[in-house]
Amino acid sequence: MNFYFRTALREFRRGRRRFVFFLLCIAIGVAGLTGIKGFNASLQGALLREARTLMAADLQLSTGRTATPAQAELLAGLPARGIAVAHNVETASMAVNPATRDTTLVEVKAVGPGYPFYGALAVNPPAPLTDETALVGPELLDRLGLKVGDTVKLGSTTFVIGGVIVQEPDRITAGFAMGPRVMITPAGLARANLIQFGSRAQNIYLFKLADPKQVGALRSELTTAFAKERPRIADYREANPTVRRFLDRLTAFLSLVSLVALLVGGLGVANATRVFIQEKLDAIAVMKCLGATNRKVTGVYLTQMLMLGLAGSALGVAAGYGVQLFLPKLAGTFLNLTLTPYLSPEVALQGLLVGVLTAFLFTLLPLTAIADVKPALVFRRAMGEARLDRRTTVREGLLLTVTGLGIALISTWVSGSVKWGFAFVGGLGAATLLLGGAARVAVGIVKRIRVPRSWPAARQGLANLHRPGSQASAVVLALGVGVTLVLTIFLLQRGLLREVRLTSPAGAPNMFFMGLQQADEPAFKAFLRSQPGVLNAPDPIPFVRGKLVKVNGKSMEELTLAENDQRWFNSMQTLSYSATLPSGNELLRGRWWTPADYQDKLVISVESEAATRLHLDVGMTMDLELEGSIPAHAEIMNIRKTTDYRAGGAFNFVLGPSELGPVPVSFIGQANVAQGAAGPLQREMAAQFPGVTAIDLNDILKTVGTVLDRIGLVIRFVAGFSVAAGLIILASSIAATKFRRTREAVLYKTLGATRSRVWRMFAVEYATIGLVAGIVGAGLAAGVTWALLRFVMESTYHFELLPLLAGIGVTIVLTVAVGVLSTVDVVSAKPYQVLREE
Amino acid sequence: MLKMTGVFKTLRSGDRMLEILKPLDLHVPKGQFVAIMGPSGSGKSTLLGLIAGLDSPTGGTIQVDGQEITGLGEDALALLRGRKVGIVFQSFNLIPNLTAAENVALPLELSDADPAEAGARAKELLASVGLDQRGHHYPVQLSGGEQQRVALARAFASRPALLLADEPTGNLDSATGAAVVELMLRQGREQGATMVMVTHDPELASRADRTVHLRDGRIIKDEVRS
Repeated sequence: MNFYFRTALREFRRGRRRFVFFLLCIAIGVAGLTGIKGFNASLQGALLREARTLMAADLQLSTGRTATPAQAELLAGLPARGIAVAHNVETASMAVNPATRDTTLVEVKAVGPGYPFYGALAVNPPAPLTDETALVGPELLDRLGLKVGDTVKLGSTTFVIGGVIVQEPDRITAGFAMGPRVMITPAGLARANLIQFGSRAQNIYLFKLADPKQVGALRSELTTAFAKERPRIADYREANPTVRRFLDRLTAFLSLVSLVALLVGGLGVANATRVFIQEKLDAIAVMKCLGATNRKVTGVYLTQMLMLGLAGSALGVAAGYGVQLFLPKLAGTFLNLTLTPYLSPEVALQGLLVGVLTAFLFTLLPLTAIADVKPALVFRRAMGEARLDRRTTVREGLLLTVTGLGIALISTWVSGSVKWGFAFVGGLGAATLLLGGAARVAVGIVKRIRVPRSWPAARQGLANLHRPGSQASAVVLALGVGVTLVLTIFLLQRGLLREVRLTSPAGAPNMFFMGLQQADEPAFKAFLRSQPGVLNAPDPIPFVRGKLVKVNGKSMEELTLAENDQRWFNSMQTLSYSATLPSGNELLRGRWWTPADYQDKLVISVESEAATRLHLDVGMTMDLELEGSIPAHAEIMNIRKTTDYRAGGAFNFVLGPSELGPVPVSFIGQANVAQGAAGPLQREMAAQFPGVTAIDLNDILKTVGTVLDRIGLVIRFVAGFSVAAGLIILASSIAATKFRRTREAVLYKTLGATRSRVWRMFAVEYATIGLVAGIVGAGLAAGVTWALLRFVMESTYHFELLPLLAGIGVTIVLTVAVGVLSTVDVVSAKPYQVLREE
Repeated sequence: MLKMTGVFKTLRSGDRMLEILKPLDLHVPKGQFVAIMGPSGSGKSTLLGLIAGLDSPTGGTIQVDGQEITGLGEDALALLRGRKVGIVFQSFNLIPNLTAAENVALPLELSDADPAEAGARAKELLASVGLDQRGHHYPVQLSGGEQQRVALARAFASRPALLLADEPTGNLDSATGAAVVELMLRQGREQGATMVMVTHDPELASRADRTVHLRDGRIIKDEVRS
């Protein structure tokens, strides 16, 4: 065996307890990281494995338009070539309980014969779908108070509820749904007359190939045939690219959050190593006397630390597997997927390497102390007195830089993005400096506090914080990082929700109405204004739908657009038109138009985000293809910014009110409805305007809130690992001073102190650490949240004391709990034994 | 074997210079056993530290086995010690987490010896100090005398040409101390090692071939026994 390994192994013979903390410090972060990465891997694995089931087909084409005659002919000819085709249509509509006239928004899916090609539609009781029946999601029955066999009204006709949908193979993310599912046949859809001009309907064509190898050929054939519509095409080989991209981004973000725990653990590792080397000074000096070079001694201890790092990482990977099993429970009903968790080798390997690398980076600096150990130290000196005089040198600065770069490398690797990686290191570095400074100042203040003699436990407890060798500042820093992270995520989530929920300015619309036809518009407007509970009903907003063809004379292919920005071309845009600047908007560049401007040409106003993405500016042109394949050429007259998304003017593109020819125009109705009036209004509306769909902003907010809650819960769970890492450091720092603590406890007891008094003394110390860490962490969290909301999300931070106080309280409880647990054997030590051992 | 020429050592203490060693010459031929005596603060430990390369002189030159050591760096000195110099400390300085045998084998392992050979040599050395049965024991399980015998075996492990001993019996009772010195002498003679021992015990010093007396950093008497 190699000298380094042999000697390093021998070092494990004594003081195993300390190494446990080292292991835990690394393991906790690695567990978080591999848990998340592993969860993503098994999720992606399931997506790939069940790709066909999740699409219910080999290939799926989805477009907002109905097929042209040529396309219809192509589709009709496919079965003869061994390719089965099923045509589904999805749209949103109102469902009504004819008996109570209660209404709810539903997601309608008309499924063609053959659906699903893969997977099974599970219905309870098992019932076939006929043109007169509907299969519904269980939530619909709850919301409308219906049961199987009852009738439900969709659009202008009623359906008998044939059964409840237990499992719908191609619906992965039920949690984000606008409303319950209602499944009918295409004939049923036609009967209900749900699809009209302006209604949002998605045509989904499912394909099943006799020879799956031909999927690529079919895909390119369809891409060509539907070139103009730019449909979304996905085949089983790529398995839900949208969902997977979302998962990848979320995973990258969560990985960085988990990395914080690893780096806090790194601080613990650095601390433990420093203490360890301090205790080894004599042994190191002896080795040098016996002929060991610096390289050799450093090599031995580095080998030892790397072995510990590897063991800690392995422990972390194993624990990460447990995290991976637990995460689906947190994610709740958002995933309609059966996961078979497995330990992906890539994930395990990354966990191991990242753990070992972290151990390496954080032991580097403490290990350089070895070079400062003079062999003369042991000459003529009893063991155990040695002290190291630390000097700050260029070497330390250099090593800190190396450590910083190393962390940047890790975070880049873990998040898969150089930008994120370096931003992470920058942010974390700044936070550490701030926290470190604040921790030092706070501990300094605590030291100055003079406790009256009448309260000896507090006096002693506080005194413990500023003993020589006290690690109070380091522990506060480590705990503070975790507290900051968890609290910031919580405050951000709260702030965002508040931003969304913030009651609109008095009278602003809180209900919107879709699918309102031009012919019905005057009647609907009058209807709204006549209804009780409608406080205010601004004019319905007209809109047309269309696609971008060219901007500034260039097609999508000619523009260099980020992949994400190609959606501007690939999806239908909703364009409004208006003579005046829509409310909730402010003009950034150019001027608003006058009738003279749009007399003989089409003018357009572009929202600033769209303008930035598409590199548009005043004076440029846009070529559009409006619904019904009507080409339009518009000149950009101004760039505006939407400041209030609730005011109903949040359109990326607004046209001047020109004559648009035979373009079908629809309207979005809007109303401000008094609390409790939405239900009766919807009931009445469903009776008079069966084709109109009402969207209650409060329902949407509820859905958004639930989604934010779930995501927030997962993020906070991962962030919680960094708090755990901080607590491990607390336990480790208590262990490092155990000898001193035990002796003191015993001395107090010998002098007549009760156990309870000794306990109180330690509890004051731990509570103070928790209090300081909590205050410092909560303060920074409030600051970071303010900055993020103010500068990144352009919102405002509404300061609330209660969450911060709760955060501080929880921190105190946790530190006292962990502290007391780490001190049990200290307080229970028998005086006689301890004193004799000295 | 050892040649010190014009060696002196001064230390700054506050704003005045402290002369620990005044310029001195000391030549020790191969195989000689020298005892260095003197009261506390006479500079005898400093002298030993300089010879071991644990400290560097303010001026003068030191040659060990023909090699000039004053200009050498820390690592070069360490390597030199590993090959040529054995040290016995007053407080034994065994490494607590290593067994007796491992402590003895350590200098060999540090100079990249084959572990099996190092182990065999350690066993042989332990036998020569009468501890062949105690090889697997840790330092805390050994008495002071036994620990110093292990330290002795360790000092001789790499067959050093020069053995330095700093008050080797200082922490032992006189009977045990005498036995340890006896062992040291025997080992040294067998290996033909040159030995320099710092002591303030005249009895011990009388066993040496030569006694150098130091006072206030100066050699005041240098007596060679025939």
